[in-house]
Amino acid sequence: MTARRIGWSAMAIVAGCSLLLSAGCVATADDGYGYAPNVSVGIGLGYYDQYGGDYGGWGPDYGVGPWRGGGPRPRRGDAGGGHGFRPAPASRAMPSIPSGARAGGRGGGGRGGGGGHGGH
Amino acid sequence: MNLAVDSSLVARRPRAGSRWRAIAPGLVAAMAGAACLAPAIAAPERVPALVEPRGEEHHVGKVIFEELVTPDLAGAERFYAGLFGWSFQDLDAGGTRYATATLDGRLVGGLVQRDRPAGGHGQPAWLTFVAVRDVDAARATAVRNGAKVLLEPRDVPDRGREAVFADPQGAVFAVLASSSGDPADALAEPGEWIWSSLFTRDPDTDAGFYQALLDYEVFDLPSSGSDKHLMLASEDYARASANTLPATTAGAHPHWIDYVRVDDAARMVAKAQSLGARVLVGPRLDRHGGHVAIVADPQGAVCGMLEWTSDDDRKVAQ
Repeated sequence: MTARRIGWSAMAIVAGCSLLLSAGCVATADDGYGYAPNVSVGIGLGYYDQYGGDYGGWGPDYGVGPWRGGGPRPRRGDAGGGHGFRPAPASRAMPSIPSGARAGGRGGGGRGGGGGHGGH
Repeated sequence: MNLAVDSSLVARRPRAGSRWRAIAPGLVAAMAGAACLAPAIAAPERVPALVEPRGEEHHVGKVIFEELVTPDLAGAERFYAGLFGWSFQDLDAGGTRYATATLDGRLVGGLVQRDRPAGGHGQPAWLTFVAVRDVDAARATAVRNGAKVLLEPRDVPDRGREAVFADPQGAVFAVLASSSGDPADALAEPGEWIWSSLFTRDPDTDAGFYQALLDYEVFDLPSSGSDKHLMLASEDYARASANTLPATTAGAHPHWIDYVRVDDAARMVAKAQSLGARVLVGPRLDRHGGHVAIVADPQGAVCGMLEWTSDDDRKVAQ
């Protein structure tokens, strides 16, 4: 290969890479979640879930909400048994969600009295 | 046969070639330059910071953002605007159709339009973002404890650093180290996200995973049968619940659900239906004394609703 051809090839590679960069694309392998192919550089993650909206079977004591607080902590009968986690000490009161009002700003403010994105 | 060649042609060819060779580098350079400049000229708009003005608060383990992926951005905007009164600002995100959702000027989420994956197995969903201080450290901890990395840590201008994982049971969630600080702990207004739940086959194991990752305190709540009801807390605030997926939902995949605060779940469910939603779990009284409900928006993304009366409201009611 002549030096001239190498030069042309190099320039072609530079041009090609530049065009690819400008397109701002990434190509990634599917990871089984249908996730990676939907991810692009920039904003927005583009995640599609894989579950199928299969709901039901919530018994009468099936609870998902936060504890309201103000009363004694409910105790599970088998507390102290084997867990995959470290259970909170029995002396700890069950916490609830934040109850303070929001201050000014978007998301700013102080603990219990500041603004916030939701009250998680 | 006259094989004589016009000498002027022979002479012109090399001249044209040499001209081209002289111009070509310039053309290539111009193309490369234009290619480099194009993104700058049409620079994607940036997502807004999570907290404005910037703060220094950080609340590891708190759910601080939600992002919807949908095949119909306009349809999703109509639905959530009609249901919760959200407003939207569409961003030019360099080929990605993205909208920020606000309520009374406060950021409540982001919406991304994407085509459904080929094969039709994907379901539009809200992605739950949990606050961490160090995304790369979180990645290491998550992987060490059995998670799968779906999106490697990446920087998002003005937003921070984020990554997406599937926990050991397969529930997908994101972590975000917000560069503008985390939203303060305050009671959500109606129309804002207020709560999150993890539905999983093995809450015990998953709680251990999230405890290792986010240093949660884990409270074990009473329940009947083999169901587990756990509460995940940090900084003396409840952050999320973890529940056993009911055995009857064999087709369900472990997942997170986020709940928007509402004043009247029954009324809001009816409103959601009128806007095209499907009811997955009708309004039912929950342990906090209010009702919860779960709907799928017209595109299929699942969204919870949770009634919560403020302490002041309760005092008035009493």
